[in-house]
Amino acid sequence: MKPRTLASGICLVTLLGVVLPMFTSAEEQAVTGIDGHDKVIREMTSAKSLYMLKCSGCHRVDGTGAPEAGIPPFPGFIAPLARNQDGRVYISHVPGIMGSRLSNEQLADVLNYVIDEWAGEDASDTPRFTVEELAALREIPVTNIVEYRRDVVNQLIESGDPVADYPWP
Amino acid sequence: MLKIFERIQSALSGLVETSARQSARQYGRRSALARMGSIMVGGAAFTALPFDRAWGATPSGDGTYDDKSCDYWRYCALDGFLCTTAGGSKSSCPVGAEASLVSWVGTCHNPADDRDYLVSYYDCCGKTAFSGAQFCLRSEGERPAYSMGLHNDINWCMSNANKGYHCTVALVVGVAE
Repeated sequence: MKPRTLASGICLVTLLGVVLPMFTSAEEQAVTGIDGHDKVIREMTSAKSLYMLKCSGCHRVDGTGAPEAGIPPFPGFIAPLARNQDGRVYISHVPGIMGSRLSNEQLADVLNYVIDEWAGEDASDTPRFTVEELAALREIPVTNIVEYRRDVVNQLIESGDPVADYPWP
Repeated sequence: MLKIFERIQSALSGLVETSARQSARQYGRRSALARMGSIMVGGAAFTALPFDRAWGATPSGDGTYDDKSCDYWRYCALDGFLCTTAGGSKSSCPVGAEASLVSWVGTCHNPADDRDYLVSYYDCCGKTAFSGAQFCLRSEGERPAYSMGLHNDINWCMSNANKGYHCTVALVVGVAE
């Protein structure tokens, strides 16, 4: 290879190295439209970290919530709710789940983390969520979540299960 | 009297003459030029040497590591007054104010170790706002109010008995992993 050919070859490779990433990164952004924060969250896989990010703000780090502010606690209440079929539909439609913008994989992990942590001695009898089940449950239309909850609460009272205080009974 | 001055003068000029002749015998003209040259080149190179300039609180003067600045890395999703400028610290409320029960949690990138952290922003409540405090609005990662769960334009003191807002602290609660 002549020195001049080599030099122009190096120039071309350098130019491509600079120009190509500019195009691909711009294209990537245009296709997905996500910012740095979204990207970090999409790549999160730790259920505990996801709970901290998406749930702990209101349900608090220890799952006790703020009942006086309308945020029910998990301990003592999450197990009976997750053992009731309509309760599972309700859980899949609470605003924190619907508005989280997490994937079904991440959501199933977070819900199972909540059961693992706060179902207490009922944890072994409480079915966990699979990605497929959660996807199917979220497809069920629930237009009035408070009304739906009332129905679930009545079922739980009938079966003698404890029910958390709620500002819109 | 004049004689004394003359004596001093001649003694001084003798001294200067002797030392000048001595230095001329000892050093060549080139050595003076070489020394001046090395000082000039060395001075220029000294500022370009790869010293660690990241000491102190502000490595680049942009406030990334200054907890009284809105640019502090932990404040990336903060919206409110900095407790560090209102009598508290970056992680504790000032005396007389209590932390909100509920909080806003976001992710912030720490350039020091190139990792993303979960940062919880608690409002400090029950004390009137201090007008001299630094107000910051970064709210990175926030979405408009129609994305309710991702909206930060909220008084987090609403869950407390004392709902008056004072300032906001930023607690690192985990790693975004």
